[in-house]
Amino acid sequence: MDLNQLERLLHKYSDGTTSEAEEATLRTELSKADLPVHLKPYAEMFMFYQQEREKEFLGAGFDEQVLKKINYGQNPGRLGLLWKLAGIAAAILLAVSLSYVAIRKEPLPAIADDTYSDPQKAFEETRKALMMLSGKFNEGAKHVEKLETFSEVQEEIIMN
Amino acid sequence: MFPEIFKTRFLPAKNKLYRFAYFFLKDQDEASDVVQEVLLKAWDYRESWHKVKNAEAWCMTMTRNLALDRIKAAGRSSESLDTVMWVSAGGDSPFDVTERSDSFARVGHLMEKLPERQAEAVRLRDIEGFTYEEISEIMKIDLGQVKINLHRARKFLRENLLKINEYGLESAGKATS
Repeated sequence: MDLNQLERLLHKYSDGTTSEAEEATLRTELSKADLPVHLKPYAEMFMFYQQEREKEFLGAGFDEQVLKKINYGQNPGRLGLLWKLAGIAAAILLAVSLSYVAIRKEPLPAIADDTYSDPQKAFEETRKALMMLSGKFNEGAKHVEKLETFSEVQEEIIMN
Repeated sequence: MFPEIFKTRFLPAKNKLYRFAYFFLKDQDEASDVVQEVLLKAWDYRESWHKVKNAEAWCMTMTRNLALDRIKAAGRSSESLDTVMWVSAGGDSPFDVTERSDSFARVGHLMEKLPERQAEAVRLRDIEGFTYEEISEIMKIDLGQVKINLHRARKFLRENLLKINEYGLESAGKATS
């Protein structure tokens, strides 16, 4: 590249309008030994940038530290955290229900007669119980949907 | 799947993030802590990675925010600067090392005199290689401002290096913002 071309490119660089390819050309041209004195500052600047780029402070030890944290569940992510909280909530609910039943010490009304001897009846009772469970589950799912909407909005805010 | 993506898209940016965090914090341990925090935050949002156009630029934005938060929390200025460290490459003659070291120190010293925004723009473009658009996103300024910051910083560096090289003098003042 002749001197005029190089100066034109450096002018563009000074204006902050060079493309990445043009800056790569400048890096090559400015690393040459026979530069005129007035262009030496640019060579020094580019050399400084190159050396700064090559500084590496964080090695494999840092990677291991980070990967350990993400692999061993110390950082479970939003959904992981949600599931953990749901698990804790379910355990508390179960414990409270059992305590309540134990404190009342009253026999619970039978939901159905003993069905051990009649398979057809047992099937019907199981089906009813599952239907009731499914209904409750759907109710719960609606609440989870609300939670997801909230979570998405929160995420948008954080991303911006 | 997520761990593999994390290892290839996020973890390799660690030194870039560290250099940027160090630019603000001037403390190796703090800079390292910020990078770890950024990477763990990125992992936390793994279900949303598909929405992230440029993982590096996204992490740089988080690094900038966390570093500035720390500076604000500590009530200190991000413009208080330490000396720049330099490790010489092996195989050079003592003269080359001295010459390069002097030159490196000169540019490093002048970089410290730049207003923070100009130094940040130069760092993001000339050292870390981000596009003008990405810099605009990371620094939260418009494209025109990115170019103005680069122009002023490069002009200041060139003019002062020329003075030092020609007369061994350096202008005493800081660059104008």
